[in-house]
Amino acid sequence: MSIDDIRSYIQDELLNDATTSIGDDDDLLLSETLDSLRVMRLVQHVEDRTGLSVPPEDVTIENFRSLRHIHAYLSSRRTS
Amino acid sequence: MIDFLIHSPVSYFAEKTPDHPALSFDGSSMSYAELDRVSNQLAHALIARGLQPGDRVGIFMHKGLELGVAIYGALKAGGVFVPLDPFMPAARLEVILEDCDLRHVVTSDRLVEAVAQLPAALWPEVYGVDDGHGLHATSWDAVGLYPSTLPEVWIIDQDLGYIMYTSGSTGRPKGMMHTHHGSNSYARWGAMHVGLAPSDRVASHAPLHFDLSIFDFFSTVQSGATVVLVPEPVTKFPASWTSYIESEGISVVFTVPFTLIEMLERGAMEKRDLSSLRWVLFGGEPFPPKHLRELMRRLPDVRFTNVYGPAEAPSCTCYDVPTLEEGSEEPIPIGTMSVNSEGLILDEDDRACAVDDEGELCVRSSTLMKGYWNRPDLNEHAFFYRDSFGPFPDVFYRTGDLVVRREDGLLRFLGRKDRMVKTRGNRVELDEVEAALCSHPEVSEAAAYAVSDGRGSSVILSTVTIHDGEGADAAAIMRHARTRLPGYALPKDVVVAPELPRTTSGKIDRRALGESHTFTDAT
Repeated sequence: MSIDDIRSYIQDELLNDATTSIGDDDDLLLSETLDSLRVMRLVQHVEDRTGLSVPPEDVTIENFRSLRHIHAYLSSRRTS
Repeated sequence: MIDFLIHSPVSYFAEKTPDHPALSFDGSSMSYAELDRVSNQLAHALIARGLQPGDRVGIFMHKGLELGVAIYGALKAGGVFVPLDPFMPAARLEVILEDCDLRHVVTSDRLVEAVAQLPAALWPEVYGVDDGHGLHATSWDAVGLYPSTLPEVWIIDQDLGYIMYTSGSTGRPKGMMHTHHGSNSYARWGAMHVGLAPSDRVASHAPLHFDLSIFDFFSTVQSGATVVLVPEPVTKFPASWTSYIESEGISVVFTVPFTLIEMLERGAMEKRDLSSLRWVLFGGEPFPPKHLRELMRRLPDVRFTNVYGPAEAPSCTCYDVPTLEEGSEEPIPIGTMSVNSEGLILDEDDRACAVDDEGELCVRSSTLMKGYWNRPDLNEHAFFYRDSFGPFPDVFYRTGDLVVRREDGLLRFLGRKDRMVKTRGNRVELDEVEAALCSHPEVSEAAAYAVSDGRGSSVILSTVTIHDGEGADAAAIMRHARTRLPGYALPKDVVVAPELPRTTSGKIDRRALGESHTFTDAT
């Protein structure tokens, strides 16, 4: 998944609002863009799209703080 | 340590155990001596900028060490602190600022801009920021220049300590006034029940505008223990939350069932060392027994207490949960009245109900609020008076909660009399949600309703109709609602329908809407 794929999923599906702009480094947690329900839906979506399984211990602030963090985490999982 | 005023223990422990941490946040901490000194300085700064005893002081901050300083600084100045949700929309902030005439707000550089965008007539003095964006600002550096001694202020324990705002059915939030005396009683109850000691590290997981926070701060500081503030992002990630318990050595947690169920299901508990944890209190919503049983099995050395009480009369009942029978889905009782509370179960004619008869729980408690700020209309109906000595009747708060007392003496919660619902422990008046949706110019009618999320809590959904020929879509209506409602009160889904179903009496049939509304969450 590209950064843009993650961005559009958050905008269109989670926020139901494509007018919200989200920068690659925007803090998704402080802005309350992601709450715990949305994080779960995002994880589910990522698993469905990529076939990766995201273990609970990886669903942390460090991996989900921004679009760039999410993307980096997924890339590291693919190469590991 | 017990005194008449809720902030006094800070000075006491600053003398007795000056280097012991009073506050801890994400690896950094503040000792009792430092909390005492900085909160004294903030109190002097507030007074220097015109604060009089009884004036309200807004606390508009994220979790952090300064949040603790703000609470105690406001109280030491003789002020009444008013928690302001840092995530609330501007319109709500404006309503609260105006409602309780907030002329002083402790905030942060990250949040002050939201205050500066309010109409200039409402602009408060702000503290804790370097640049006030046009408002008169006092920075932390400037606060540090004020005297570090306790200012002399004459207030007594009957005076207000805090005002907490909650959802109001008319769309206008209502402020519950709590005295030092009441907060102290709540704090003392918590410290006694859990047996808090200076070695305890008590999580401040709930937001400050949620009444669990009164336990988190005041029970803890009264015991000379440490408040461990939990960063908001940590509360959204169960696996980060369990890491935080481990790294901070948290021993006591008071939270809502939802947090604990998430922790059980996604907290990677088997990968964490949670041995520091000794007591979990939960409240705000019923805890489904199957989840609680599993959590208790996973944490065999931890004690669990169900605490019930509206924010108007916190912690008025409690129940220490015994080992739960395998397979039983019997709801967890709310227990017996706490030592500082008396409960009456009244029928519709205010007559006492017999055992096994359902009625409204009315509570007399030393934790009881003094009333709703500036709302004689609500105060007139909120209480039940029982004749007592001369001009001093016993005052009971009508909780609106339906309960029953069984033969075993334990109280069971059955539901609400009105349209208030709980979602993730937050109180939401569905009328307020509907009012927010209807305030969109193109919305004609709105219905909000709660459906079970299957995890012991509920989610709010809504259906609206729009005026003929108008083209508003669900996303636009949702965007509008987001400017009016706090995040937890936002409907998770808005459906635009040609008309709303009606009952035979012509009322909107919200039950039918709830049953037919297909909405799937990844939960």
